[in-house]
Amino acid sequence: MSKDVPPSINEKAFLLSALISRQRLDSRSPHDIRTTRILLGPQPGHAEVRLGKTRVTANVSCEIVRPRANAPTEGALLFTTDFSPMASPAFGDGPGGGGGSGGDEILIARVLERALRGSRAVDTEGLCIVAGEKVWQIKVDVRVIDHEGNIVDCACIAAVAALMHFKRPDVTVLGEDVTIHSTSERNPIPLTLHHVPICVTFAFFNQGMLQVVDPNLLEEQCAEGDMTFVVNRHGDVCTLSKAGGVAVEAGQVIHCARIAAAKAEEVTDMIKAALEKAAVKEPKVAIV
Amino acid sequence: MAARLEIVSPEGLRVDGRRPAEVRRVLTRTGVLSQADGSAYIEQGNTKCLAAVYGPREPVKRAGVLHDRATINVEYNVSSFSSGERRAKLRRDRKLLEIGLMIKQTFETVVATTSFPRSEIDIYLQILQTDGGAVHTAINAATLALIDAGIPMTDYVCACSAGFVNDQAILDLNFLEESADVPTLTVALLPKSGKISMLGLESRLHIDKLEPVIALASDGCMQMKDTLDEAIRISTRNLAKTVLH
Amino acid sequence: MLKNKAFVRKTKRGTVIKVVKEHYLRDDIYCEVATCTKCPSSLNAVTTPSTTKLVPSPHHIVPDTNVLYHQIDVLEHAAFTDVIILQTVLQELKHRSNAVYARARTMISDPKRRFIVFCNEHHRDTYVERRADESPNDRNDRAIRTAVAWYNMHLDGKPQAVLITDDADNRRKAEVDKIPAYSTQQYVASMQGHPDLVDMIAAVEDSNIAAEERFAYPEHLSNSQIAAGIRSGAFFQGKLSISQNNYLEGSVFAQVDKEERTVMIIGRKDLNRGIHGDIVALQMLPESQWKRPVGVILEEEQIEGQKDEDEEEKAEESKMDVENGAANETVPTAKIVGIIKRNWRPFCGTIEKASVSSAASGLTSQQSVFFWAMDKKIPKIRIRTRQAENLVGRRIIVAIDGWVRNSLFPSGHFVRTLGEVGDRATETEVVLLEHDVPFAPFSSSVLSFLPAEGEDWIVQPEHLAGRIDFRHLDVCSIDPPGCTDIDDALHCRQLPNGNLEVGVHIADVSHFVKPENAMDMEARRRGTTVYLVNKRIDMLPSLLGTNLCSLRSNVDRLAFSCIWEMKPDATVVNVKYTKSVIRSKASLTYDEAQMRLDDSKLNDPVTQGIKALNQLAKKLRANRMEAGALTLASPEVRFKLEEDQQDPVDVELKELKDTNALVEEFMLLANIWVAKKVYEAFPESSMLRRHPKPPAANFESLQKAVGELGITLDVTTSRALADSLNNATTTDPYINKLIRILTTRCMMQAVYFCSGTVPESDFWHYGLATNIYTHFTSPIRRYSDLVVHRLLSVAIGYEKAYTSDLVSKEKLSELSDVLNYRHRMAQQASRSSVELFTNMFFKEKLLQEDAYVIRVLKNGFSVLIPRYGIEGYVYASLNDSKDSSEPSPFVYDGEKNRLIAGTVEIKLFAKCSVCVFVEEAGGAARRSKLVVRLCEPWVPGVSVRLDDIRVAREQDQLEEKSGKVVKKAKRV
Repeated sequence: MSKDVPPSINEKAFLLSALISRQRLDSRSPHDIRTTRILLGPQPGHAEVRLGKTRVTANVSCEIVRPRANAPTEGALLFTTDFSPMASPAFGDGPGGGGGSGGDEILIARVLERALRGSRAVDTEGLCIVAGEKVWQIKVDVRVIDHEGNIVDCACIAAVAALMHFKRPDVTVLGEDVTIHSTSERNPIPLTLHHVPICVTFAFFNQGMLQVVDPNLLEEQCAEGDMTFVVNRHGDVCTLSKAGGVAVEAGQVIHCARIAAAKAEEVTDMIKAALEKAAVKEPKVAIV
Repeated sequence: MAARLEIVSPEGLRVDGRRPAEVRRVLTRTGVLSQADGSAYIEQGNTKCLAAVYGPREPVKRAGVLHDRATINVEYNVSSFSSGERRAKLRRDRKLLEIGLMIKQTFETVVATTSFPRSEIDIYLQILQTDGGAVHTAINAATLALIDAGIPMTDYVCACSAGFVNDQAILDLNFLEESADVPTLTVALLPKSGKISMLGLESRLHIDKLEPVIALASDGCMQMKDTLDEAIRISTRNLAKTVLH
Repeated sequence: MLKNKAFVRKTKRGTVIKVVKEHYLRDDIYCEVATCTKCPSSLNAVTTPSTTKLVPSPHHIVPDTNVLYHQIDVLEHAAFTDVIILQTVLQELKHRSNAVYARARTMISDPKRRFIVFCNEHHRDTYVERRADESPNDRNDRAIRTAVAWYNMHLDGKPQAVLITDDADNRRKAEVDKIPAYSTQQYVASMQGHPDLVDMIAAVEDSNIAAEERFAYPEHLSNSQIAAGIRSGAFFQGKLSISQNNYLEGSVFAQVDKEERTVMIIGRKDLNRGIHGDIVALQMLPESQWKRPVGVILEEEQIEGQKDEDEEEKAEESKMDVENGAANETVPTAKIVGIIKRNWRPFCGTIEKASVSSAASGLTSQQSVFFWAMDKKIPKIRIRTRQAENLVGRRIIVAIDGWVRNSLFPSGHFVRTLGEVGDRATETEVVLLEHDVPFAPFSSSVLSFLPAEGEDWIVQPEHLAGRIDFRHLDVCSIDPPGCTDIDDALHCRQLPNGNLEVGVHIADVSHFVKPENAMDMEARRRGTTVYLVNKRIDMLPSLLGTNLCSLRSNVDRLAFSCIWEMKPDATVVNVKYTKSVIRSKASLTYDEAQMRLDDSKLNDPVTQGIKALNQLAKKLRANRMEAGALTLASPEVRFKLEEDQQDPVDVELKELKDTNALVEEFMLLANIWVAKKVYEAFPESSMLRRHPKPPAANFESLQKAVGELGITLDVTTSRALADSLNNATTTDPYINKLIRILTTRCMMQAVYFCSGTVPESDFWHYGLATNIYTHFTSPIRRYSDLVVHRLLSVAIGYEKAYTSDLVSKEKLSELSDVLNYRHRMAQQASRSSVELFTNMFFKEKLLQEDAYVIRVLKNGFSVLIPRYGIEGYVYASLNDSKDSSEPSPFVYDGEKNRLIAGTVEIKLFAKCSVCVFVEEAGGAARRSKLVVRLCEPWVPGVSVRLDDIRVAREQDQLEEKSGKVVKKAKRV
């Protein structure tokens, strides 16, 4: 929760009373997410996502490295996040420990890591070229351009969409010779994603009795606590993170989990639709 | 043909002989450090954690001062000798920073910070030995240390971890069980209201299985609360004895 | 109570760490004996103590680890119930062998057997700590003894607990502690009512079998040693090829003592980690060790199921009973001493289900599983993966990393998943991958060389330069129905002088595909268009193949023409080759053309042309037959797919009509004449095609077999062979076809070659009986034709400039080799695709059909089923030769090459009746198998009745559906 200028008491009270009567200030219902627009860039692996007014871009690149010693047949996945100061006055230069924006940056980066690497969404075993010597390392750069609340969800959608859009160069291995083909020689290959993890954040109000999905900036600042779920459409909870804030009952957690699962399906469909649209626009390659 | 580790044997016993819903042995001591305002040492199985609390005191960083309440800072450290292999410690290891932040936000709602505006409460957590469940042990240690420091809190914060394997939920996982890729859920509870203050899940778990795991973890937290409560009462009684005589 | 277990361990990476584990001791572990009053009753208690002559008082036995491991078969016998298994014993067993552990668990979970597990490790009274200087084994033995003693104390001897251990030392110590202990032999011998059990006891030495005596291959020699050996002549090198039918038999075609011979390598040790396709260095074995080729069909899958690698080895040896002596001669045999070049490629296949252990839900840590490649010549590969559970039942690709000495199998890593087993698209992809067919979509650089106008390309006036305008001629094309890539068109008209002008026009692909550009390189890489049952992988982008190059009707197209002036008796007066522009008047199918031929009323120019062509074609054919051309047969069938091209509905045999022959004759004519022209212009560097004469030895077994039917095959010349085939008639007309089919198999492969590399006498094409031949008429689907087009266009002076590569002997020779390879692969891919669809067609069916025996081996015989044109293998023993415990009723007569069972003789050309069905790809099987069983003639022990099979299959399906099937692990 970034606090640059905390909202006034009047604003907080107004927000709370509106929520108690199940109204949100931007006329959404409590479980609605804002309009999502996913734009997949001309290069493979570039995605820009707008969740309401929050804007996050993600870019995926790859290179060949030596694998780690304890996992010689697996590729690597790296995440970096950048909270550009133009996104919000709260983002200063350089991260810091403790409260404020630095903390947020770390939390969000960790959620992304856990959601995509920890849940094994990306098939790292298929990134192996020569066991013990050469594997692909996939690097995901996430950049926050505009902060209007709920950067976590937006960043996650951007990262997932970018990974699904990305294509790596084709490699042929014969005996011990490795040839890497350029994209004009052979069509590049997309990454294999076992499942699509989607992040859904809830904000709590009124001693934890009310929860809303996808809080905007004001709601984030006034919330008493928040909880982030990363679910996929099969109902697997990949990560669950509630970092303090007001305490809630176990039953509520389960309830939120189910709502999150439903939302995840919606968002997954949106991403798939965006991918299809992008595929159509690409230059015609397939003939056979 | 690797020998698969059976987390829970068909006879209902885990690798170390516990049944699925049993917590490991817990040993606690408070007031172990002389300089700190409050300190505590917890051993849960083979996981050992030391907590020290300084505060409320004058803030070191002028920038983080809040005018109406105290700021809480948590530093969470894992010693390089804590696990079987020596870990090189990265100063800015993101994972440790994240855990520190989570603990901080957990305690912010429980500690009566409004009683101490413009001041700072520092909690230092050091994991001396890890055998699974380091985070929840640290939270319990922090609770004890805060109480030992005399800082008013609305409730205990009790934490426990639970996992799910072979259609069964198990409580308080040790290192072997955690490294076997068992989905682990860490839960911090406020026992008076029974509400959950912190939740952390690392691996994949299906939503239908979430409920029994949370229930079991909550149960574990209540067990921990009894232990923590017991420890506090004993130390207070000892303190009372020294004062009265 | 809490204890700590501390020990030091070496991690996978090689570092040494200290591991400290907690160990809790409990009070709530109960003895689980029903009659005990002190402990609460439990559901799974032992109830009925046993009594034997040896131990007359009621007792329960407690086996120790070695007993449980070695004598698991005895214990599985129903005579053993109410047995106490200790936790220590189970844990040790698990470390020893997963397979036996699984069997023990199955026994324990069976409520009727009443085996209970006592957790002595966590029981307060029976926990035993390791003393310093005590080995882990001794500590475990002491723990077992302590537990038994505790039982006796707890139950007051009623009933007793008796220790069964084969370790004499253990028994002695038990006696000291006053614990009743006996060896398995003693105990079992004394069991009443089960005398047969004694025989089942495996003889085992008392000492522990060291796990260290593992299998190790001989070491490979270093490169320098190999090079030195080859120079000195001690070693020789060659490309290893593993037999399709027997994965333990390999052969190398190499130069030995200045002679090219086939050398065999037999057995695992001799093969020494060589994999099919590697270049290896070999050392010849002394003649006394030369072996006879083993005449069995051996599949690695039949050995599957053995978890222990040692057991697998023993099983293999028993199958490969290599005898020296008897009928056939021994063949030079060698052993591999080193690998010169590895030629591994990624392999498609599936995971062996049996090697996947059940895991926790969600993610699992890496486990080792075994992978079967589709290609039977590749051994099992061990891979480590997290996703093992997900991968069962799917086709995946695995690449090999290496093969160390002390591992029975190579190790590899997972590359990617293709899809579900049995799914049509997946299986098609597998067929393409396994035959190294490049099928990826054409890349952007290839497509950039297509004409810019794309679909709107038309013949422009500037294209006419150097071409003759044939657009006014009545050209037509005759092709199979649904054909879109029309490479050839014909025309025929009367000339004023009474002769006929015949023209063959071929699509002018060389106009669009210029040498050395990306599209040309890609086409060269593909070599040929690959035809699968449901898919076609084009050599050229379809814009060219099906549109701009294709000689469609009613549109101007560029062509390369061959025009003959012929007398009515088909003698060629003169010939002209030229580039041209044509406009086909009609694209006909074979059927439509046939109808026009047969219809005497039609008189339009196209029909007249066809009729004239037909007459000429007949004469040409007759001439060819005179010269000795062969008409062979192949049992090819075509699948009638449903409307949406999905499931095969029916199968029909390809028929040859007059019009097929018509087109064929003129194509042959064109190919021959173009070959002559090109050779004339480029004697050193033409791309031609030859068919070597098959050596007489190839025909030996066939001649012997037909000899018995009273037929002689004269194989001296192709003419003689053709005549013999025509005279080979018996009462059964199919036999003639069968003989032709088998003759086809004796033939050599026709190959492309560069004219400068082979003497002119070797240009002979045996099958067509012509002394020079090439491929010219299908440039859309064959690269060789494109090369010939280029050569011809230079020869006629159309193309003035040409690259030196076009006429370089070395380059052409290399290219021929590549094209031959691609051609072979494409053929095999087509066949695999047909096999795939055959299996799909037979999926739910169970049919009984007539069949003819076409091959006889030691452990079975191959049959051909004419109705469907498929082949199957019938094993001589009903148990699919898995268990050779039941001997086959058949006896193999090597001299006469037949299987005899009583009065029934299975020999070549024997007619029989078989039933055919498909066995689904089980957990380990690579693909669904077509199973063929003998129905008639009736041989007890081998033949089956159709109805019996149907009933058995229905039962199997019912069982599967209700989930009652419990897989019992089988032993060798």
